[in-house]
Amino acid sequence: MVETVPSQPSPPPVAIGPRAPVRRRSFNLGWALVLPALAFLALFTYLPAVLVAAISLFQWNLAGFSSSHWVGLQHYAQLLNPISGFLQSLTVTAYYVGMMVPLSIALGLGLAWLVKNRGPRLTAWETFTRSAVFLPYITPAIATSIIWIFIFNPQFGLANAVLSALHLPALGWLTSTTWALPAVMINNLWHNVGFMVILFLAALSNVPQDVVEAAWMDGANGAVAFWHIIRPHLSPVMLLAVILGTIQAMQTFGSIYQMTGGQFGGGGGPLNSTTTTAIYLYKSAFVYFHYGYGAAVGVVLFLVMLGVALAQKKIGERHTFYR
Amino acid sequence: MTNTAARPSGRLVRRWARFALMAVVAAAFLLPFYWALVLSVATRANVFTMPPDLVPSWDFISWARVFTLAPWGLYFLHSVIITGATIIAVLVTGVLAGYALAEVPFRGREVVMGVLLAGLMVPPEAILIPNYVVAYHLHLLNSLAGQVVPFGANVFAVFLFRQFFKTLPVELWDASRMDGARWWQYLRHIAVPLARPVVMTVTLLTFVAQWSQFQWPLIITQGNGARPVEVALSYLQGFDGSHWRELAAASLLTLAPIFVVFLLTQRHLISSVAGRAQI
Amino acid sequence: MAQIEWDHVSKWFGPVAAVHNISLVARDHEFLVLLGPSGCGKTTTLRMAAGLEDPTSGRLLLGERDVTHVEPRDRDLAMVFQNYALYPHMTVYDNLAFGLKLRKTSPQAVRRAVEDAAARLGLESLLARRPRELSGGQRQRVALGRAMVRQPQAFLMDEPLSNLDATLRAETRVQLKALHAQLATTIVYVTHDQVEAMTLATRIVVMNGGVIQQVGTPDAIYDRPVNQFVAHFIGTPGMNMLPVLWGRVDGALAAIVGSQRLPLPPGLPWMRAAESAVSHAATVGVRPEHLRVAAAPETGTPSLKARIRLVEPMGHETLVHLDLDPDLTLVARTPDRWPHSNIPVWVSFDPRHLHVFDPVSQVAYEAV
Repeated sequence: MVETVPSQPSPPPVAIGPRAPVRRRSFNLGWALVLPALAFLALFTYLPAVLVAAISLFQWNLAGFSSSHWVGLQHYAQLLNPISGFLQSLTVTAYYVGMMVPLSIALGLGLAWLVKNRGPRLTAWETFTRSAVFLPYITPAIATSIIWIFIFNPQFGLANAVLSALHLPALGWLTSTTWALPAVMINNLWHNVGFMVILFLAALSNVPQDVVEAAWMDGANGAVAFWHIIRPHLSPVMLLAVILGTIQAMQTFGSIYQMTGGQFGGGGGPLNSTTTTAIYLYKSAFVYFHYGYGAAVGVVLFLVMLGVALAQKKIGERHTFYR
Repeated sequence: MTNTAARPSGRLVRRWARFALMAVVAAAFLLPFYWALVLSVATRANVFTMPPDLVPSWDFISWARVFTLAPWGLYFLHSVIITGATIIAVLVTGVLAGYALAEVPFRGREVVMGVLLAGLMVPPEAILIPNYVVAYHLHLLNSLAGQVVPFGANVFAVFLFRQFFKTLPVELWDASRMDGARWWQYLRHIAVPLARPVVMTVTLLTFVAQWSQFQWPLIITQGNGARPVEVALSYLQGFDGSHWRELAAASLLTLAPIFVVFLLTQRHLISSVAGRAQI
Repeated sequence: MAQIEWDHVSKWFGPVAAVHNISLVARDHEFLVLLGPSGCGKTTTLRMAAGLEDPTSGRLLLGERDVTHVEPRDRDLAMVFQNYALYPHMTVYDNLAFGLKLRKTSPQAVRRAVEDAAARLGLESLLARRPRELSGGQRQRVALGRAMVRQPQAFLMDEPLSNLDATLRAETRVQLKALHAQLATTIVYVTHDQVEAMTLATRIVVMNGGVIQQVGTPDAIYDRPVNQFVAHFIGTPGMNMLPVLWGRVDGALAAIVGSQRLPLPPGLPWMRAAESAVSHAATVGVRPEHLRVAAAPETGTPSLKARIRLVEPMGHETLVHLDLDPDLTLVARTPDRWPHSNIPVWVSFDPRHLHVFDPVSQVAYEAV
């Protein structure tokens, strides 16, 4: 008993079919779901990113545009005037970043190599050392900076105790215009290097062990094997480390503030020897209440960071293998 | 050096040298914490000595005195509320947006993705002042809410959830629809419980970030009304810089929650930080 | 009333029609099987009934009710998925209970329903386990149980047995048939496996290219395929198809097959259609089991000369591959054993078992 005769045994005509009617509320639902996230970000990321440029053109009054005084590019002219100290803050920042990035990468790579697992699984020692190196990274900067202030105390601190044990002269550390910034650097190296270690550990685990072994068999020594075999595998991560390290260093605030007398006028002492751009921006706006001027610093900082990131990416692309 | 296998004694020496070096490194990295502990339980006589005393004398008087110097209970409460509320906000906004970007097709989805990515490029330091201006106009200065709202959504969290939801088989959604679930019931009963590792990662990273938050609360809080521990600690050092023992105790108090969480979730925490770096 | 009706339903994915203008009724208590090769639109047809896909045009009716734009949760249908789609983080108990809990069923009623379904499917001892701790067959039963607990108006099943191994599939097939008799509800079942379709179905819907080819009981589909696609798709091996030309031998109609003439007795039902056809060509089909292979021509039945190319012994029967002409081959299923290949033989059959199809439209002449 045949009940249905095929209306059309050949395949249906393939034509441009009618579009599925937009019946579901997916259009509205999608937007409704991203709205909370976008709202938060709009208020405290997107709007400020635009606002910062506007504010920098005014002698800003918190009450708003109507009570603020238009000054045009005057703040930017001030920034370029050496008297303002902004250029000096850039120098300090460059010094700080220029030291921190290579040091934390070198130290991070060395430590990663040290705690890298040799066997198929981690030994207890390797785990423990990794944890000890990583732990400072997640600690709040003020709490640990206070400990480092004790360490760098010229009379009773651990730092000078170590120096004297090595028969080296004691240093003034945070009271010295020469040694205050290095003291901050030591604190932040200790604090942040764990991040680099994690970054490099992941990269080192990607180095094919058989290639390294083959190099050993061919008679390559450690340095040669590292330079010719392991380093090329690290270069993508190296680029990431440089970019992230630079961004982190440029934005360092809490530790510098705390160690250089933030509670006595906003930090950056002695004699502005540790006044990085981040400190400078903070002091302009929240110690001297020149919001407009501070915003101009923010715009420059924004551009500098963007430029650094782009430049590093460009340079990195040329020297990166195994992408 | 060229053929280590042939010289077992050389290999053994190298192994022990490596263990010794690891021990030195671990000790060096833990030394500041240890010294803070020693200072916090020192008697008055063995604080200011040269060379510094590295043996604890277990005098807990400073720990008690910390609480008379400032209302630490209140500061802790503030920090806990701020951190807890931020974690909830980041999870909620992250889950919702991540779900929409992964599974709900809507016009403008690509645009939203681009806008979110652009948000990652804005350095928080550079927009400190306009953020303050916005907070001023929203009456968020000197409040707990003012320390939550600016961090209430996190692009990284959104992407993590999006990535995870994309891996869920579409049949789970179909099956739950047949079972009678609406989209939010699917999220609540199926997708989010399955996303537990991501929830954990986002929670840990937000916790660490918020507990350490300093510059923002420093500029928007005055007095004790909404002050979190980190800022309180900063002030304490500013005004009582010579009270080493109490300061050390207060610092360790601030660090304690971090230590605890680290000990409990070490592996997950480390891989979370590693994952964050890769994005 | 658990009748599901597709009323001129089409589904387009961009410029491609996955389902093209189908009208179909799954009657109350019926086991309706949608059968076809992959990509034929059978799963889309099922998912539109479930409410998981919106039809581009046409209507869906549950009983008298138009549910075309009704959410799945308001259709009171349950579905079993090909890969089961169990909730991995829930126990078996929670998997079964989830739908009931969402419907705000009282805890006691949930417990009773879950335990009842578990008892029917032999899942009592597994209620506390999670899906990953179950075997494939157990998961399949949980998926069935999840559909059963709600006592839906109808079950929709999308290749529910395809992830099981052959033995388990055969067992589950029997259980499913028993379950259908027990539950006495409508089941719409999608498969590409004709054995499942033949054994389970009240009626089979054969689909290809998004179009329904034939609807009928398993016997009707098997005995009277309406076109070449159905004829070839059903049966293993499929129906033999031979291109023929019509000729006359002593005034009677005969088929010219390759270089041979096949005289046919008068009075076959399709003959008038064949004689009145414009074309002198046709395609003749005959099922392998209707072919007889012998060393000598049979008297009284049409016979064709052939040569055995290959023999596939199966134990209870033998598949004999035959060459008529270099380009004309046949497969015969015979109970006899044919050990050798390359032997000249005679193939004969009862002409009533012939199916004749129009060579252009591929439609069977009986059906015209």
